[in-house]
Amino acid sequence: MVMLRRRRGSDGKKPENSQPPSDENKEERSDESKEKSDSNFENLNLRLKSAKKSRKKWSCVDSCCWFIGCICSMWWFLLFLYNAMPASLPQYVTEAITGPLADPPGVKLAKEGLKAKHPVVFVPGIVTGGLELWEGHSCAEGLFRKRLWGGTFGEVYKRPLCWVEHMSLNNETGLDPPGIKIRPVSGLVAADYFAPGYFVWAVLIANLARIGYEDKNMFMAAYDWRLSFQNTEVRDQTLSRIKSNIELMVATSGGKKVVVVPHSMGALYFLHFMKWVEAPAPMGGDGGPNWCAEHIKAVMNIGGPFLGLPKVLTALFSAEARDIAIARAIAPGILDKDVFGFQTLQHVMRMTRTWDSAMSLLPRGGETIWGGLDWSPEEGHECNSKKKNGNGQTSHNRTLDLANFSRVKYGRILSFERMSLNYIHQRLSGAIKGSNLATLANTTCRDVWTEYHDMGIGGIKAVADYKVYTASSMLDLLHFVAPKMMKRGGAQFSYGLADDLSDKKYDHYKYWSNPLETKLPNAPDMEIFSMYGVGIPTERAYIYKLSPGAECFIPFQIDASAEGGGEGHCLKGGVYSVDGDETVPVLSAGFTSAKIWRGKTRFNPSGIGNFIREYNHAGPTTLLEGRGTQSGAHVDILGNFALIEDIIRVAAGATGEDIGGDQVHSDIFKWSERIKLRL
Amino acid sequence: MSSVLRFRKLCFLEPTKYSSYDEKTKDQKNYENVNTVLLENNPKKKHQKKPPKEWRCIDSCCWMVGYLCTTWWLLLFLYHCLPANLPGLQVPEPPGARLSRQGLTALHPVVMVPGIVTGGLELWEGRACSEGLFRQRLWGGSFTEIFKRPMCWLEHLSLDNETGLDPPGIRVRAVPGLVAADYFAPGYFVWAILIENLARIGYEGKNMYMAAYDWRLSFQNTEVRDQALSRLKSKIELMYVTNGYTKVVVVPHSMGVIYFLHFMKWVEAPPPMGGGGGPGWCAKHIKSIMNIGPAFLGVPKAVGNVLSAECKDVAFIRLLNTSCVYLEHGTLSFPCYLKEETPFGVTWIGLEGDHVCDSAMKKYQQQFDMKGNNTDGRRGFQVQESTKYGRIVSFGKAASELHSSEISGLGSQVYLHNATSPQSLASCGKVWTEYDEVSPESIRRISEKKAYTANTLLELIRSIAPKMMRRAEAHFSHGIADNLDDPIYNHYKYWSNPLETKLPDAPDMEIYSLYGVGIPTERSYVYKVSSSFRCKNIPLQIDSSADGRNGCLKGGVYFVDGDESVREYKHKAPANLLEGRGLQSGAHVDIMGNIALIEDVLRVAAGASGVELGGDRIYSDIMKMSEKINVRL
Repeated sequence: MVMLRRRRGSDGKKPENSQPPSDENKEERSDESKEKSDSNFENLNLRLKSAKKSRKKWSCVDSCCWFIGCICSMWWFLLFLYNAMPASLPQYVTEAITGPLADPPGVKLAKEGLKAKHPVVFVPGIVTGGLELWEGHSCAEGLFRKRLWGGTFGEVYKRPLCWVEHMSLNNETGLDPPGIKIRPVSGLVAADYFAPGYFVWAVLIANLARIGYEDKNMFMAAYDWRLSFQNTEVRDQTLSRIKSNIELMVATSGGKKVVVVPHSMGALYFLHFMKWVEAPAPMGGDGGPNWCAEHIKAVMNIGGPFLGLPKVLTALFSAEARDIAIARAIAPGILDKDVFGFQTLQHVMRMTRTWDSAMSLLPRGGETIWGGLDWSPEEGHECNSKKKNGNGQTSHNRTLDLANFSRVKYGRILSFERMSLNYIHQRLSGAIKGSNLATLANTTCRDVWTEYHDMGIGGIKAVADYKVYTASSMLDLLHFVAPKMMKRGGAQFSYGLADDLSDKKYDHYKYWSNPLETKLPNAPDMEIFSMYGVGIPTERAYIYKLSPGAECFIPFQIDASAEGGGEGHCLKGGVYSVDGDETVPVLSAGFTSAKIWRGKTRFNPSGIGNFIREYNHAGPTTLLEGRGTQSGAHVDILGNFALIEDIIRVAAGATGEDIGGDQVHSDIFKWSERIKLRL
Repeated sequence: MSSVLRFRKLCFLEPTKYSSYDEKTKDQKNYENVNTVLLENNPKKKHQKKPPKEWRCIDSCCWMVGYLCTTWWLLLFLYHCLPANLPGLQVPEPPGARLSRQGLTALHPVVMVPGIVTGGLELWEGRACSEGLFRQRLWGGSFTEIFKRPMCWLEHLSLDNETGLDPPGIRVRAVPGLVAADYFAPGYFVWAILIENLARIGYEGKNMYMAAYDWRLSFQNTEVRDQALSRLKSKIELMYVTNGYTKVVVVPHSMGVIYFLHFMKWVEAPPPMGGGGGPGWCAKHIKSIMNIGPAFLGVPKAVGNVLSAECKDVAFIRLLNTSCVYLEHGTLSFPCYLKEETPFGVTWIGLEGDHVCDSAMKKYQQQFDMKGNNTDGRRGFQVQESTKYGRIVSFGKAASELHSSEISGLGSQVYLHNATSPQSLASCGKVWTEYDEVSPESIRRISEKKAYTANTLLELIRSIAPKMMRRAEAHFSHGIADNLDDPIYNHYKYWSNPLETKLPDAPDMEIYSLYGVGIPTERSYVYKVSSSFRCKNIPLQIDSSADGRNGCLKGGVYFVDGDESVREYKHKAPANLLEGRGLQSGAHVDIMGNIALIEDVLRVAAGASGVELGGDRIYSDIMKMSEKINVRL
């Protein structure tokens, strides 16, 4: 009631604005005083003067200060409120809007009575692991043991050139440059969050903790993802470290075998580890032929790019992927021109090309797996499943008659000038390598070194003239444009397809991470899971063009203007896409488990059980959900409840059959059938 | 609900009301008329009116805040623009840089064993009140949770009173890795300086290891619960292998020294109780042990903690606050008061004594026998010496200076363990200290006894906190062994007592004792019976009026098997504030930043032996003091 009265009172006073009347009151008052005391006119003058003075004080600086002060105080006030708020409030709000949330899988399964059983080993993928500085040049002062990679990336903005210099490896050896030591962060913190708020493993860790896991039975196998796999052992003894930790965890948990959960490139890394640990001492870990059988219960690969990624080709070829390509098309002036003396793209390219690990992700198996000029395993895939008209993906092209051309030719991973049917088949080795321009280019292009400068314009033309590249000719192309890098990579990785696996040469470590050239360990009780998301268009093939002014710049770029006709077309912005998890195409993630490791084959002599678990992508419905609990995207899938539940069940003792065997949404089995391969 | 409706109504009705207020608009018109008249009369005033608002209080506040913020940012900006080294302020070169120029490189892997309190603890599972703290540090870091939810924090850091392990539903674990103890709180380094200097001569994550353990547990329990000892063993073996079969250098600090002593016995003991490493394990894997500020024989400070949850610093605060606290909350117990009234520094000391902390217990216990012997040794000097350190706790200053013959014997004293008066239990809320079970009667008797040496103190504590002692005695021993070959000494409770164990059979191994001297250190206390025997008050408190700070114990270290080098570092406080915590400090934790100490550690890690280092370097009377203690060698 009191409030009511008060309101009325204020209403009665002045409806529009409370300010003017008070001013006027004052005016009136002063007016009255003036009228009353005419004799005191001087007095009034004085008052006016003082009023003037105070007005002067209220200058621009003051208003600025006032403004800043206002904002700061408001900010603090809100911050205070936010901190005083109970932590569960956002959850209440979310529940009020979207209805009650499902229990996190950890809580649900804890209620079912699941308990921590098998120790869990995480193997992070490329890029997601943190790297910190242990020794640096003078420009990196004060960054000792600070993260250069991961975390806030504050240093990228503060001293970009210094950062690039420190993150690059030696171009010859693929190891540290002299005077610089960058090492992986160790422990669970290495990859629980990539940047503040951007989880990688954190959700999985939190859910495992709910059923009783803790630091002693979880282990993050952090490694320096820039190095080639064998070099992590040479430089940091990372593989020995993983071996020792797994042995320790098996011993301290009473002989229970570990469940390994690799993500992304970690899947290849762990494949390498399994070969390494059983190999004899000088090159391997000398664990004996039964090490895996004795220590590993299951390997649960999440989005493992076993056959490589087409994306990496473009990253190495022109330092761009779909996202960058668009930016480069929109603002060529910024990225291509020499703005502020930073040649951003060139620097990025120079840096990424020193990372050997990127080469572990090059497509493997050549045309047998990825398709040739006229066929590909994924043929007939419809990119927009909502619109299923027969010729949706047929490109109604302006140049050529396409009567017999109703399929996207994914096999042509890289083509110059779209739809060039009449390609000239010429071997690249015959191309002219114009070295006459090399010296010139080197001097004019500052200190940014990319191998393109050694190539000369003639070579670039030759590359473009060749028109179409498949997975295997793509490797030749890379050999041609970046011979040093490929030489380094060739010593560490292999991209072939073995005919005879018992060949002695396959004992070399460079074959260990290639599933097409190794046998799985002899461990019949072990299980391998391939878990990945589906339902997101994923880069598979590219259309390129020569970029203008190819002197100091990377001479090729994705032709972002190439668009497929119609809604359902797979070609967008110069990129053909297929089904996948946004990074890894289904074929790469699932083929091994779907075909070459299924049952007893020459790749899997002991018949290790293989299961495919696909997770259909469903994005977050509201903003409040963050990155969603049913996501199938490459990294976000680590927060997918269904996947977490599967992992927890296996960690608590379930087998592949217990959690439901295969779970397939895509055409992976159909596609695998098309690949002709002796098993 | 109804009020809300009314409010709504009002809002909706407002527009109609506007129109109805004719008189008001009239008034307004009047004002305007007046205004126009005024304006015509006095055009000057027009200017004056333009700033519509007066310079009000809020405005000036905002202005002030804005002004301060801007200045602050400006200064911050300038500070960042500043070159790292001002020409005038020459930062001395870190020892690591100097030694790396001399050609030292990383050779032996280094294992660091942090002491009590300095290791971080994080939450893995908690009660409802700790939501959102999963894998956040409860101990170490910024300690923000103490302010936000102090009771919850206390509950989670306490261990089970019976088992000395986790209470059900709570899992607090040690933070692993180098981050566990590089900084205790932001800016307060522990190991960070040493790590940085080691890195300068080539150390990195693969050849440094922080043996973090949950320092609240008894040593053997860290193995039972977390397998911390197995982990340490496996890491040392791994580093030994991966670094080309070079032995490790172990650098324990403070309580870590005893922990590592325990480890060495554990690792060679046979499997069910020990690590099964065989008798040659230490000789094979360890090059040297460089104990920093070791507490082999315990720390008298811990007595203060356990007895009345206070030590020197707290005692002063308590004295200052007594009156107001007693006035306001007459029945508040001391721990309550600690938790609610006083800032952080005090709180955790209270915690330690209140909820039992095994490790604190063990530290003082080992002190006992030494002290006992110490007094015996000093009897001859009693006439000359005015301070009697042997009497660790005495009631009243007079008692601390009495001749020993005037003090009544303790042996015959029987403390009354009355069944707790139900009254006091009922009135005292839910804070539990064992003092409730000790009647005022016996407390008075305790104070009558006047002075306690280390031996008798043990009995005293046993009488006032029987549960804690029972638990502690299962894990720690505090005697001196007469015959070390006795098989009873194979039990793990003796392993961490240097007076009851043999060092491992490793003739090549070197043991260093590095500690600071030159700072007054708490050695014994003068107690008084606190003024009120109300319910939850801890009945004993340090008598701050007497000069309780009579300690000059020089880092008191004495080692039974004399083949170790002792290196002391003179304390020299930082010359100016810019130096932070000083480069030559000898204080217990700050010594970790002492240049000379770091240099010694670096040299040994790079391969030097004790003799090359220069052998013993002693500033204090430690040798003389050791002489006075009669132990059969």
